[in-house]
Amino acid sequence: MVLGSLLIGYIIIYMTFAAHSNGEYLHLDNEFVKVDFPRNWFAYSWKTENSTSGSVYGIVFASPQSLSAILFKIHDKQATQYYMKKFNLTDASSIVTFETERMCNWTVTKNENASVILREKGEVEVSGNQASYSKVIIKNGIESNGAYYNMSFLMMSYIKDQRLVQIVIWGKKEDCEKLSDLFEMVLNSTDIKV
Amino acid sequence: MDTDSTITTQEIVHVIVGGAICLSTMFTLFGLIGFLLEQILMRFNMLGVVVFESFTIARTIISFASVYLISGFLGGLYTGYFTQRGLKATLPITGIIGFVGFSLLLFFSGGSLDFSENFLERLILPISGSIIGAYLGGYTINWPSEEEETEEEGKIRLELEE
Repeated sequence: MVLGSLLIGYIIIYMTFAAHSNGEYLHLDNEFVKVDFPRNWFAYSWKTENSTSGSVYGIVFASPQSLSAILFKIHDKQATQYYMKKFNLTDASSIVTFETERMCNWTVTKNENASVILREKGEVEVSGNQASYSKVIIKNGIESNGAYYNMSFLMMSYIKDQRLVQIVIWGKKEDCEKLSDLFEMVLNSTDIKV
Repeated sequence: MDTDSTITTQEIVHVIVGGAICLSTMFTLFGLIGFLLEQILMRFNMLGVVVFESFTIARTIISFASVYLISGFLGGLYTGYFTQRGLKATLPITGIIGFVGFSLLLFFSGGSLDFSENFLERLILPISGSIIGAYLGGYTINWPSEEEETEEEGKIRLELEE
């Protein structure tokens, strides 16, 4: 029974892999997003639903060999209204500013030696949509195995059909730069279904 | 009062200890199997498969076999060895103690006791795995004594006939 169950489990995993394999990438296509991501990256998705605050779908991809990740958060209309009302935000630009400040404050609270050494803000096209972005580099912003590294935090945000989409790329600055091509590939392959 | 059919306090203690063995094995194997599975996926460059729903089904099936069945089996071995009477009652209790204890452990480590989500994965398969495993373990350890009883009954019948 044990061996039989292990065999069935293995077959299902292999068939899943074969069905979604696209060369060196895996293709994910669900009701929220369509995206290709490197097959050896860790991926995790979740959905929070609440009658008051609406529903939010999130998915994160991270390379196991580096300290960086890319995150997508898709809010439905109710969740978008709730979020913007809660934090008194008006548009995508105010959202990226707010979230970037929140990240900076949280990082500095965790480590008093952390400080912001670069700030950048503007507009960028993401999946055919005009998005606002905000980028910061935080000195000593990320800790790993007792050592501190500079952290890169890039937040992009747009609102389409009253639904908020947030995309974050963050991690150790050197790792983010090394993986920038892969992050760009993931972004370019993404089709967010709003 | 028929004392043979009642379960003694000592047997209850053995059932609880069997349940504790089931629980501790479950706890150890749960973490170990999860870690091993992740390492195997990384080794074969297919870690990304964890995001798909069918992987959750596969992981549930693997956990049923390698965590819950084995934990129940070990707990059932102990319980079956020390409580040779009333196995039909004592063995499922061993499995249930293991499952309930494990659920509480997960809850206190930040999990949830809401079984309405992923009902099959979080309730049905773990509890059935530990109970089936306990039965397999309990009756495996008692198998030789059941065969001896059958032989003795056969000898007594033959002597009476003679």
